[in-house]
Amino acid sequence: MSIIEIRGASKIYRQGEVAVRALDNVDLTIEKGEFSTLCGPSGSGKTTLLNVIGALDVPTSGDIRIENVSLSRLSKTALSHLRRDRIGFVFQSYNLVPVLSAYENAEFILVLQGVKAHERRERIMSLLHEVGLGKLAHRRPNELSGGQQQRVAIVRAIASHPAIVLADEPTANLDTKTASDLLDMMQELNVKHHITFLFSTHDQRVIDRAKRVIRLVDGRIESDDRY
Amino acid sequence: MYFELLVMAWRNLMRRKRRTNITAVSIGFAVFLAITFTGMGDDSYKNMINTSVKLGFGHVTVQASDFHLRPTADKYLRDVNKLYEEIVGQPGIEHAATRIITGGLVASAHKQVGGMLMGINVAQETPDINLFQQAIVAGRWLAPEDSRVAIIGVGMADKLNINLGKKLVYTITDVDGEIVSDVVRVVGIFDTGMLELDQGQVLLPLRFLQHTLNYKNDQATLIGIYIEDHREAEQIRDSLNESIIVPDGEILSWQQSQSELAGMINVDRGSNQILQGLVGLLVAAGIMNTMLMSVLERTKEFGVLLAIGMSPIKLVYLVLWESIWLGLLGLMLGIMICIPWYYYMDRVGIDFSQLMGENASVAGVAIDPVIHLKLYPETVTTILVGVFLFTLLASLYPAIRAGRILPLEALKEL
Amino acid sequence: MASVVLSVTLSILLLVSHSLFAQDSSVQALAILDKVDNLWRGESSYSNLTMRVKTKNYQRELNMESWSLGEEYAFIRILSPIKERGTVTLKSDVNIYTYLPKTDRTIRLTAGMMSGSWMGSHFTNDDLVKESQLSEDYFVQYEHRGQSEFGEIYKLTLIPREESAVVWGKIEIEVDAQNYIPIREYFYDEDGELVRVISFHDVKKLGDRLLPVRMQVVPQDEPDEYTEIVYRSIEFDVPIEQGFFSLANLRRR
Repeated sequence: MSIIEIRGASKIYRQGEVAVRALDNVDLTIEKGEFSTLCGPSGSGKTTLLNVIGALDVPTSGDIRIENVSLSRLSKTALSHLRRDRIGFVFQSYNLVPVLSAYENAEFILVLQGVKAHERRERIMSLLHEVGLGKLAHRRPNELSGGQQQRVAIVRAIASHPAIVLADEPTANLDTKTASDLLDMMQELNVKHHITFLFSTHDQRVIDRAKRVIRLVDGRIESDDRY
Repeated sequence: MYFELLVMAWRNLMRRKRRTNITAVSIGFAVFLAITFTGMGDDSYKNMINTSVKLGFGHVTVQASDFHLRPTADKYLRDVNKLYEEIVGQPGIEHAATRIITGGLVASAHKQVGGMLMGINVAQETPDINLFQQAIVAGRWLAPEDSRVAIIGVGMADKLNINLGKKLVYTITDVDGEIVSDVVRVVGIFDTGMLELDQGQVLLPLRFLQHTLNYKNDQATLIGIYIEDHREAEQIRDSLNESIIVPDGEILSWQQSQSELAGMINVDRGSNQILQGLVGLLVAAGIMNTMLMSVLERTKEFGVLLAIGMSPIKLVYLVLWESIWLGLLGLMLGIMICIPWYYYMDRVGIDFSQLMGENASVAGVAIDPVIHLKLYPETVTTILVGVFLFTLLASLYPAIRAGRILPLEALKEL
Repeated sequence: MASVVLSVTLSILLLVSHSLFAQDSSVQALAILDKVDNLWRGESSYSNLTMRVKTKNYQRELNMESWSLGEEYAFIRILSPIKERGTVTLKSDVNIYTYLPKTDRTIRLTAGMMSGSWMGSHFTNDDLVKESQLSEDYFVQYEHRGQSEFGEIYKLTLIPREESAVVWGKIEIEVDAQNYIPIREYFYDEDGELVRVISFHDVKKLGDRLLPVRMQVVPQDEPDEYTEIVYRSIEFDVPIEQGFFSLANLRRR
């Protein structure tokens, strides 16, 4: 079953007098368990595409389906719930809530979902242990390194068992070693838990590890290679 | 969910301790000001009312219909002795006194002045319900066997150039509208400190005034009723209206019988409330500014929360929870300031005698120059709830603003 | 007419008899007092008079005409100055009414207004009401018969009865022993302080009586002030009905 199905998606921004075509008639399907990346130069439309898939942005035309549900039919509230329940987000700058501990940040979406406390505890603690942060669960984001913060962000993204994890330049702020460890961890999660990852990056380290590389130029898919 | 939200809200508030503290102090200060203004006002109103009612009419007045509007001698109560017995037997009534009040002319060999004459049944009077009894400075108070005697104020003694033991001729209009005169001897002089009373009030034995006015033994102008708390006057009036029948008479609360004072208090209270409202607006503007700043500087953070699936309404709740904490913190500070302040004001008070001068009276009623705070439980509750609601209301716009953040735009911010 | 003559005759008889025996001085004094009291009193009267008032602040002169019936009724109307012409004071028993032609309104004076000055003079409204027999309110003591600059006089002392509604502590009256015409009245307070003096001047024959036609009141606390009443004419026992002293008549006159 395909997780994401994009048919003829276009996105046109108006910048003053000029219409910018950020996405141009994109067709794309992503299957469960994929570990793929969008790449391309700045302004090629990869972030727009990621936002459209993440239900944060609405295409000007075309249809996006997530688990066979068409986003164009959903209300704002439904979209909000869809993001909460079916999509995991990982951001370049981690974006953890500064007043919450690592554990609480990771737990946040489960709280929003209304998952019972003891179940949250089990799920989060096991994931934190898995990513090597079991002992740092009580720390606040500012007491963690960049790599550790991004791990917490990843746990937050996957704890709710989403259909797909969308990661926008997740390694951009990390040094080589940390980035490599993080990618190892994500690959492991992909293999072990069949979590679907979709990156948007121009970091070659990420591209090298991806099993599918979708290259965008001027809002169009130029190449789509599987390894 | 709400527990996590309120924990998060509290932590958010504590992120900017200094800003939070300043805002909380301003809320506390608003509580302090409201408590002080309201408490001082209520204290002076209480004193003024309790003084005014001791001049004759009481907290509740049983009187001949319309006497307070046109005080003439042809308006009187019948069967006052029976009525008095009925009234003192009612619940909530501490004291009652039968009185005759009539205006007239008071003369000595030297001068003639206009005056208010009050006939009193000395057996029913006590210093607690009769201001003049408290204020005797020369001679004596009336005695039960007294007949042709009077008690006057120092101002009147001065104006008429008379003293204890000297006679006084008063001229009044009797029950039939005839002008009648009688002569009495001064046995006591009072000094209330209120010019109008000291120059114009004459107290006489009820019996004797009845005799001059051609009233029967059981006829008088009114029965003044005294109760514990002046705020219950209307309630007592209504319950008296249900339990006793006053032929050709009516029962009034002090607000009706002393409407000038009631009006003055209302105006004063109104302006006091407007002032407090303005202070409240100022504080509310400060709170709104603080909350709006704290929302705007967290646009990206809130954008992320919205992106990962937090619903806008929950974000609104989060900000409101922050303001609830802020409000509670402010109230706590306010209470902490107010408790020692209240004890100080209760024990010591502020002496305004320097500012008010010698003859301190408003609407003919003396003001205690030392101001205390009179706090009724419901006043305190109203102020605390009011300030809290103001805080919440001031945060409503910032909270809604937080809920309107567009995640996509917010995420682009650095 | 007849009754006045009778009372005068009786008084003289009493006076003569008591001056002869002189042991009951208060009875004699009472007779003198009643004579003085009745000097202006007839069953009815009509008079023309002028009132002059002098105070620190103003001086005024009013001409008026006056009707009276017994002690209970009086009707006083101002003739000049023009500004106040037609203003009427009506005394009916113990009530006093004032009619102001300018506003066409009648005011009944209340007890509180009795202290007000009557027409700006040194008389109060109350003085007008209390014009009763002195002997009702006072004990009279005959002091002595003596000489003064006016010739032979009687001197009487009036002490108020305890229950009389009068403000004075004592009144002294000097009466011309020949004509029983008052010369001076001294009003004292209870401390014996002189409060006001009324003096009588210019004895003339008006109608059938010998009367002092000028009467002056001087308050002792303002000795430069006075009110003076001068009778220009007076007639006694004029035919007049009680109905004349009615509210309805205020406007008509």
